[in-house]
Amino acid sequence: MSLSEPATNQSDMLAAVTDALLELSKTDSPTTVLDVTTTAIAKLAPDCFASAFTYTGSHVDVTDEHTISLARRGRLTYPDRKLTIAAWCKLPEVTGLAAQLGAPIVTAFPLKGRPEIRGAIILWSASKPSRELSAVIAAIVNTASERLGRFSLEMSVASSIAQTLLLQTTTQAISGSLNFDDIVDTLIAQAKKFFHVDAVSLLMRPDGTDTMTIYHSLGLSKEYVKAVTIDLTSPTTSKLAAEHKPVSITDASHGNFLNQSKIIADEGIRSMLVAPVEIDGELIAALTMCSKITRQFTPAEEHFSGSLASQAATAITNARLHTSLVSAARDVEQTRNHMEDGLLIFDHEDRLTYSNKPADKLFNLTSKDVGRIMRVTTLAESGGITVNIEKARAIVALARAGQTGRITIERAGEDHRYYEALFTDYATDIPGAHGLMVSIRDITPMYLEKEKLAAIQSNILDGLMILDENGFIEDCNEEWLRLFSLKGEVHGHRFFSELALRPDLTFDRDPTELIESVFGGKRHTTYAHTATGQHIQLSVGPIFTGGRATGAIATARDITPLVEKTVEANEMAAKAQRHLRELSGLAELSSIVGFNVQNIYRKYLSKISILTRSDEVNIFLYDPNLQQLVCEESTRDEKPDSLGLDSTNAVAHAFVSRRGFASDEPDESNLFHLAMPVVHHSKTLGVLLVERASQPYSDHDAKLLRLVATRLAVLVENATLYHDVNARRERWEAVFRFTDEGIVIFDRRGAVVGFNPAAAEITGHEITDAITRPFERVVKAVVSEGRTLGPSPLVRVLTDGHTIAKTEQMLETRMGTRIWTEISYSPIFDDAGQITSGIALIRNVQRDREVEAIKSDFISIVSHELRTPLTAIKGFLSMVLKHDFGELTDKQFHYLSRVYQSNQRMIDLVEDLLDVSYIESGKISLTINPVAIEAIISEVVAELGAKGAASQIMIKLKRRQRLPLVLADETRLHQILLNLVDNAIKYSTPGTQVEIDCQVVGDELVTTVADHGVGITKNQLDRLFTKFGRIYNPMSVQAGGTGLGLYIVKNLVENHGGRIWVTSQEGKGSKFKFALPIAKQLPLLK
Amino acid sequence: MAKILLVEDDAILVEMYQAKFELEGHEVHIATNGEDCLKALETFEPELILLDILMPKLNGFHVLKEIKKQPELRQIPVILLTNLGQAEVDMNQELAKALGVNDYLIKSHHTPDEVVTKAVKVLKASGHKASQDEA
Repeated sequence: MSLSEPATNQSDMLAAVTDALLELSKTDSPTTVLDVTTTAIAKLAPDCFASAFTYTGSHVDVTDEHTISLARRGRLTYPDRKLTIAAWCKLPEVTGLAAQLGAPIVTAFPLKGRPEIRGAIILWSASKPSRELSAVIAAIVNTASERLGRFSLEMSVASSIAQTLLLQTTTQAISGSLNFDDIVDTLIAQAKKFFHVDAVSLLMRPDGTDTMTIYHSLGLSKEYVKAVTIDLTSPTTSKLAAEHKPVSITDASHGNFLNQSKIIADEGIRSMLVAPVEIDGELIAALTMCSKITRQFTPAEEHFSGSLASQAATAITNARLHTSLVSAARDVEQTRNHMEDGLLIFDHEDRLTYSNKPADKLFNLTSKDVGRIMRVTTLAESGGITVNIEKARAIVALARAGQTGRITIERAGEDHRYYEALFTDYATDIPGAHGLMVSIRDITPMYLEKEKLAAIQSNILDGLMILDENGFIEDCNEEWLRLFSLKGEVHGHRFFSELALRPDLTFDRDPTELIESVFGGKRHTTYAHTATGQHIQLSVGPIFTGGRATGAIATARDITPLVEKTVEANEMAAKAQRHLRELSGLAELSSIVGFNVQNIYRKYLSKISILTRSDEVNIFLYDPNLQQLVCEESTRDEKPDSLGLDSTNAVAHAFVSRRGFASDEPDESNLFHLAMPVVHHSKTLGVLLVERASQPYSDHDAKLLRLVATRLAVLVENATLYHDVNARRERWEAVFRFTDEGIVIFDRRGAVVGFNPAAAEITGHEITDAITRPFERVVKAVVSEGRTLGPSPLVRVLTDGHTIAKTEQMLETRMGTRIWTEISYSPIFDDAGQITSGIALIRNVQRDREVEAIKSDFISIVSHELRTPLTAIKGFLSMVLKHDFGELTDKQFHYLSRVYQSNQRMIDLVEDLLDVSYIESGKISLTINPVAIEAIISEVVAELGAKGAASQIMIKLKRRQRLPLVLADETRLHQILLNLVDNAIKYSTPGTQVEIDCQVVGDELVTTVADHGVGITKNQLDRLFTKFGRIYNPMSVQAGGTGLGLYIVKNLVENHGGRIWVTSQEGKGSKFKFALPIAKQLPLLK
Repeated sequence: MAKILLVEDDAILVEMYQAKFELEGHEVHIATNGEDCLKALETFEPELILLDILMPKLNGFHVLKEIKKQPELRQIPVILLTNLGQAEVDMNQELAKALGVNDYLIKSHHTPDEVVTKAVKVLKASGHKASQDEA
């Protein structure tokens, strides 16, 4: 159509537009509107292609025949009704067509509508249409839009009318007929017609099943109807059912719809509309509309299908009601005639319409009464019955409102009976008018039981509750209400699943679970606790009727005082138990004794751990050498490090402050600490550290640990003392055992209590022999004849407390031999200064004495026996040299002189050795007299003058003054001077002088012998006065001498009470000085 | 010229002192132990006794005590000749003095010549005529 003659000018264009608008006003359907529009555009723009795209449902219909390729495909699926013009132009179909037509420019004109656009007129052209053309086309499209809008409105109005008509038809069918199948037929036929579908079916769900089958259908094959069974439990179905509203399926063949896809495909069904039929929210049926062409059901159609479904639901309900009514009427008729219970039926005007025999009897009714208007009061007034009128009235009102009510009727008389009247609503034949049905049951036995029960209820002190079959409270007594603080009406409430779930009540067992179990046939007792601290014992058991639990009975008792008492008793018992444990723990600790500290510590650790319920226990002791707290023992695998006293640790803190220290907060290892100093008297020995994760340590724990620490302190101190004492004892015992000195310890009575091996050796007494015997009998002193026995040393020691040092005493041994000993005695005092015993140390000096004697004899013998031959040599030689036996040659004289000199040296040496021996044995004895030293010096000078002269040495005596006498042994003083002067000559340089000088210094006379010789080196000075301290100097060989001279001199001087010393200068000479005491008085006396 | 009793147990020393004293013109009578000495004194009256101390049988001090007991012998001067050490000499000196010893000589300290000199000195002191004559 687009290829018609072009509108060449403006007037043509105007004419074309006018024609088009006129045409549009005459259109009678949406299709013609679109046709007219596209035709008009084709006329206006002959070189363009135009086509209309309009929405139908969720699709776009393409109407123009030029767009054959699109039309063949039928529909485009662009459900979005809000596509913009630009979006329209870019649709792939549109742009694809532009390529095919060779008209690349696409212009779209919206077909406007409310609320969304209806579609678009698409224009394909080689070049961009002119503005005028665009404006004209837009005007035509706008008019077309309006026209379409009007059709749309008309259509919806028509549809509404159709719907209304349909609903009317179906409603009439439903209300006008009791035949369910007729109604279904009408419904389906009407629906098929309305929805223009190929088939409509009603699926029904038989009661108590989860499947649906087709009940009736129109337009479906019999095979299909038979084959379809919908499983309502399948996921897709249950999902559909859960929607509770109609659902349309555009492509039913797609996917496995309702698990029936094969059947659906076989039947050629493309689209479906499924409307659920529900009664009270329960899916009982479904209405399905099936189309063999693919179509989209509009929301309006979906909605309407819902209305139809509701109609169907009404029909089904009615049908059911009818069925049940019919059977009920039959049942009622039978029941009425056979029941023992009384039955009365009133119509809506309180007219008695029925009364059976038991009712007649009870209320004294006759057949005349039927048809009479009778109020409840009228009935109550009949003879012999008692009823609560007020309550009866209320129940009647309730019954008329549709609720069932009961009331008890009592008939007095000989045969006293109770009846229960049940008032229920009774539907009369007249619509909307409600009558009343009263059924009367003889409940006398039950009532009597109830009376008993009531009596029990009111008489028992416990709370009592009875539950009905469904767990509702049927009855309960006041106590029950009180116990559970229940107020108001409780009947009809579930106690265990409602009332017991209050926040102020807690149950030991979940109440819901409990009651389930009770209804399962079990009895239970549990405990409830109120917020106010009450404890309620709750016993629940089932009530059986015919082997089935038809109710439950519960009793409750306030056991708060009992619980409190029990708790209190338990607490006390636990406390007592704990105290007992602690006490026994402490007692056990006290029983740990001994001196193996490590062992004790380990025992302590485990006890403390139990006593204080600690995870870890450590014993720290202070080491004064390290000045640290050292962990002696620990329950830890690895002992904690030693701690300095300045540490911030709890242990150091407790030690320094001497107080227990407990941590309030756990440390990084989540442990609480308690450190307790271990104090003995005023001395802190260490710290006990306990640790635990459970909770902080209490004051009680601290008290307990302090007790333990005190006990431990004593043990530690005792052990330390023990070890000290032991070590001392061991040392002492070693001395006691191994010393050469005999040690004898005696008690206050003088009995031997200690006796060492050396003592046994000395005395000859066995140790076992000596012990307990009197000291004097064991250490037997020999008193020389004529000497009196002084006071016993034991008396002096034990009574006077004297110490007796080294006294020589001869003892007689057990064998009778006598030995010399040296004995010392000492008392032994205790701490209070009392003498408890004494000790004697005995040294065997017998051998010393013998040695001494031998030595002494030896010296005498040696001296005598050596001297005798030397004397002979000396004597004969002296005579030979004096020519007593004739003349000698010079040589003979010379050599014999040498022999003489050598012999003399030997004599001197023997002399010196003897002197040394005497000096050393202390046997030298001096005859001290006031002596004039000058005379002796003169003698010495005279004696040695010749010798000096031979060496060109002059001996010079310096005379200063008259010298005082000195206290000396003349012979020895001579010996001293001779020695010193002789030495001086020996070591003098030839041609020098030896000077002798005497000087009074204080009360001493200092004599100096000075030489001018080689002098003495400092090293030599030290050895000078020692034995054989001979000085090896250039002249020493010729000097001769024994090397004993100065040693003897020094000892002689010192034996005089004097001193000797030397000063020397090497190469210049030496000065020997000795000082002797001056004899002051004696000269005067002389 | 004097009569001298030499009491000495060592034969060589006896020979030596005898030789010297005889050389000097004295008459020397010998006793080799204490008992010998006392026996000799029964028949021989010396003017001087040279008495050794350490001798077999009876030592010098015992001999001396015996001599001093007898009035006829008591006047005879005695020189103790010994080879005991100085210390022993010191110890015995008091005793010697108490017993009336005229001199106390350590043999090894003196040549026979010196002993003779000492003896002559003692003889002079005791009023020996011959010695005085000689002098």
